[in-house]
Amino acid sequence: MEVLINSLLEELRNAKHTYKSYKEKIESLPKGSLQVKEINGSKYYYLVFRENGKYISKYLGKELPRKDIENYKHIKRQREAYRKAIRDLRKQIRFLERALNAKSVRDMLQDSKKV
Amino acid sequence: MQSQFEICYRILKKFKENKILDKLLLFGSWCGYYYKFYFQDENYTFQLQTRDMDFAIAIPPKIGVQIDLPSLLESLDFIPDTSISTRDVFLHPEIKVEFFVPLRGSKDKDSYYIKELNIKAGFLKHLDMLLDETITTVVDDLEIRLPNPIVYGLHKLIVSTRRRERGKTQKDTLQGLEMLSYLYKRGFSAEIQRRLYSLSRNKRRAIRKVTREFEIIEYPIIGLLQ
Repeated sequence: MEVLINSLLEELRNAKHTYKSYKEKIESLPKGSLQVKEINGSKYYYLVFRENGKYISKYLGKELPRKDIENYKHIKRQREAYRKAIRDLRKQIRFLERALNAKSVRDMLQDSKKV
Repeated sequence: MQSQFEICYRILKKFKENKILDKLLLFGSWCGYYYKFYFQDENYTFQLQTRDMDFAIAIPPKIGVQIDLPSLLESLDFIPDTSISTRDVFLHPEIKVEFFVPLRGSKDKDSYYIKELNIKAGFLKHLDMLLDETITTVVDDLEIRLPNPIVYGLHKLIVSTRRRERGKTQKDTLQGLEMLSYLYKRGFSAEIQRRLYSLSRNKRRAIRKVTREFEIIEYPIIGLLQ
């Protein structure tokens, strides 16, 4: 049982560390996502994001290099993946904390500290 | 939520597509799961595994292809662990991937840069033991290299003595004992003994020391290891 509890503790430590790393990573990504508006058959590119709760739409131009469009798409995909990772990790942490917070487990951890 | 098994499989598949899978040796607790495909025995139960997926690479590395492994893992939504600067560690909600090379003698640097993979691998003692004797197991269309299970069991017992945390020592010891007990029951006692005696005296002493705490009734293999 002690091995199992120690493994759960290690998993909790790892999950918390991974959660923090994903949070940092998502914050380091460039803000905003690309929005294309089509007016009279012409495309206009905007970078949209929120700042201090305020919706901001920044005009980027009529033409945008393909490389830049791909880059914005890539960042958007990354952001979605990282958000999902953060959600999954939150669930893991909650589960592990609950498991380790059970009275019987707490008692066992207390006993092992005494030894 | 993707399962750990799915993620592991996707990593291995990606490595195969990039022609590096046969250059890497999967070791650590995930071996336990993949041995089940090698033994093909329903009585075999794999041991408790953590999120750590460790790969060993022989040095000098003979990879044969040039791959940007960090980008490859990023495409599977892994992120680099920036809290560790000495070697590369890749994080995912379900799995943590690390690469290691054998440590021979004393360590004069923190990591070993593998140019072909663009990664910094960590050093680990006694890894040569695992790299020297390997087996291959087939999972779908993947050929996965694993350490010889007897050597894996003995290695777990040896490294358990080097752990600082008591919990990790216990886990390694149990994993080693479980594996060797399973092979013992399957009639590999002569082979276990042969490999045990091929180890250095220090390693044998470490095995004796760590297994002394366990009950022979629970693990009859201890009789052979003492």
